[in-house]
Amino acid sequence: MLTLEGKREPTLQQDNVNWQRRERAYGTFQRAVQLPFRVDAEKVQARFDNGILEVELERLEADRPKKIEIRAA
Amino acid sequence: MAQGVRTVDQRTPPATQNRERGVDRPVFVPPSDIYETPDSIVVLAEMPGVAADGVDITLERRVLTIRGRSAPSEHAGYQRVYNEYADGDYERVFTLSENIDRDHIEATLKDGVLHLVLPKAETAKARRIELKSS
Repeated sequence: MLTLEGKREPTLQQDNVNWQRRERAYGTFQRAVQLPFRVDAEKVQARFDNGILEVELERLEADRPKKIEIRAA
Repeated sequence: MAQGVRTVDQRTPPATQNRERGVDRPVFVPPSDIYETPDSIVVLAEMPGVAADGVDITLERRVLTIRGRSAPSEHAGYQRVYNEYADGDYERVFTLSENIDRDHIEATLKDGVLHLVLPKAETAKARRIELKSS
């Protein structure tokens, strides 16, 4: 389970501000994503560029699909 | 109520925009906050994935056009499993009343959010009128 949390700070405002449009969201947010397989917690990479967060997770070695050889009886 | 300066949204037809550029990418309307201070109008437009070189802001007569181009995300060796956020460009058009000081418009881009400060021209600022005591 991967959980992402963040907070968006509102921009500085003076007192006498007249809002014409307010479409953006502010405050804290949280999102949890169920991953399809177990991942190696030691090898997580995260990048944040131009407002996009990219998290790269590596599948745990023990969890990778293994080819099972059939022994001829 | 706004004092002397208005912003009006214009509908841009996305289909023609794509045909003109010859690219078949979706064009989104960036969620924006617009507020007015006594001295200026501030526009905050959210365009995730757009870098400084992908922003195009033009003011022609009274029409302000904000465009953002995002770099297509490439993930070689990966298969897309779930898609909530789409790669695309951004565009929004506003009509301003003519009381903007065009020479002092400031634009900054941080974390995909465009911060645009449009200072009001001197004539648009409210003036205090003093009463002369007789």
